[in-house]
Amino acid sequence: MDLINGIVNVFTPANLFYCFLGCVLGTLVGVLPGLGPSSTISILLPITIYLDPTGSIIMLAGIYYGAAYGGSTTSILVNIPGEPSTVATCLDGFPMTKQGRAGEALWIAAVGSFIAGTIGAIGLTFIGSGVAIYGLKFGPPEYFGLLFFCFTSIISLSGASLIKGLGAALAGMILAAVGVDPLTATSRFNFGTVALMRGFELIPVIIGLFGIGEIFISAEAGIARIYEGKLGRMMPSRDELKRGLLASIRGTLVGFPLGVLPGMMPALTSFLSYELEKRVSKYPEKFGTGVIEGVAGPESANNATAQAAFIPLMVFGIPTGPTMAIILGALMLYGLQPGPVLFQTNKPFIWTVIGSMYIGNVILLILNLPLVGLWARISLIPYKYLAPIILGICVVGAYSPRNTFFDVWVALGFGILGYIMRKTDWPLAPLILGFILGPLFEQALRQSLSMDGPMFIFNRPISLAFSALAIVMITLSYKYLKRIQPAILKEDSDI
Amino acid sequence: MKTRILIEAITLLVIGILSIIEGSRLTTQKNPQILYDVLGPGLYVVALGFFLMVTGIVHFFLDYRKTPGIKKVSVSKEMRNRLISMIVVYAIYTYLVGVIGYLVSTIIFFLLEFRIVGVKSWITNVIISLVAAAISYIVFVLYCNVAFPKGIFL
Repeated sequence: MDLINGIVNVFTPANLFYCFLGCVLGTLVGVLPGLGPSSTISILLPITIYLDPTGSIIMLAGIYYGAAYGGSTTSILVNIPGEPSTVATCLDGFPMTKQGRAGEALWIAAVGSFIAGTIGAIGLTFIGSGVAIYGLKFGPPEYFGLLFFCFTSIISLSGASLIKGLGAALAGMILAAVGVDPLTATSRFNFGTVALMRGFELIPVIIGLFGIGEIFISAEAGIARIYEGKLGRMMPSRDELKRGLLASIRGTLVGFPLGVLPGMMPALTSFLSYELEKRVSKYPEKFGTGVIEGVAGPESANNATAQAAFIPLMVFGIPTGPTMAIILGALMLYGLQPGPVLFQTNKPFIWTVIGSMYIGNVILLILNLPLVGLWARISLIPYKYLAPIILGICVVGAYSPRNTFFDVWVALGFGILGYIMRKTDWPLAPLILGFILGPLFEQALRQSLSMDGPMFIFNRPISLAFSALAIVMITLSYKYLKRIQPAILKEDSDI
Repeated sequence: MKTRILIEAITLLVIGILSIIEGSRLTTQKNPQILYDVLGPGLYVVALGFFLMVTGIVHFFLDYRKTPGIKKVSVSKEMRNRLISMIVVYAIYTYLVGVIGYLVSTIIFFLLEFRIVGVKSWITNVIISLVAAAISYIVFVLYCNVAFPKGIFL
């Protein structure tokens, strides 16, 4: 009943307008690389003070989950992840564009995001507090187990050579260690320079490796267009739709429960979902060449994670990431203290915000689906017009997270590295995975050792279960890799 | 191609050695008064460096024999020059933004990049460069408040 009242409240012109505005802004910041939801919400925060609390929180929430929708567009079309969470979408999304199937990829990304967003909102409504309590049981040893398990996906992201994948992941972890150590504030790898003390920001690294590297490769190859030919269908076939929807549900089931954990990044759950899709697929060797499940799974996982992040915020007042922390700040500006009491004292407010998430997901679907055809046509624009514009956007995307030109140089450096890695058949995804997971893994490991000593895994059942699962996966993967390696090598030689 | 494997293995070894040196330096500087961090900031880096070195060695011994089968793809001199020009223009642009401001440097950047990637007509080049620079200025600087240095122009 509370939820129905909340949804009815959203249908007031003002709330509907703020919901729509939040979704549009979120989609835009998701599409533009480097302009993340946290910076947009920070910019808008002073303005929202003059607005009605319900309307402004509806808008800020819309920006947050809208960005998760929009981030996939540039990943699929031009191989530049708008958000770190959409890196995994590049792996099969961009190959689909190269095959003239950008419409299908964008369509399933939008529908998958809608499914994940809606299931996430349902989860927030009915099982929010229960899931959040389980999330609170996660300490550093449990995170260590989970992250150790996540590293098993390096195997499936490595392509033909596991040793290259492992080398790339280790290099990514070392690159992530550059800067100030998170626990003791000691400088590492700065070689006496101030710029390196801040470490490498994730966005310029991603933009460089994927976006700039891709442009360099295409420019050197003299490619006329991303796709030369007539665009294929905009909607997936019945069989692909079925596979895509099933992958979306699996992605949601991966992303939602993990999304309630503090510090959980949507990028991580999207990689886990990609790994899962590859595992359950009948044709794992085709992943990376344009498989619809490779788009649907990660896209749903990152959206479900984004939606689930509201649970610990609403139920306990615990922000799971920087954007949630800013939304928490906005709530406190209005004198609203999130937590169980909020559900009792401010029922209309809380249920209207939750209700807006259902409406917001529908708005995002309506906004995104008609644009699929328009976006897909980007792949037909001659590269001589597209490449400089993408490079220009890359510069802004690399600069904007920290407003420093050091990051633009970093993007160029990683662009050249991405180019070299592509030319020499080194996989990019493990490097990014190592870069994203490295700091979390290090922190979890060091904190766990300080808490429970070297045997910490055996003292914590969840950590032990994840670690055991990881070892089982590694063992099974050896056989799996042996099975798919000949097929991958054949695919490579065909290309 | 065997040289390539050798270079790759040496690169991994060098990064690994650098990590071990840096990690060892940090380990010796570890503050014994910090009780909440038994491992310290260095040992983790040493371990990563060690594993990377091992990976480099394994890569060399495993892949060195396999390489002759891989075909070498040749790239024309014109295409290679195009790529180098793009990188040089990107680097000059990154430097120029701080000196002459975002708008003017972006116009110059687009003019040169469009020319390099194949827009031969100067009229078309000037028009699309001006339009692209104006749109990016309006979207990023005016609406998204990305704070670029002003420089001597805009």
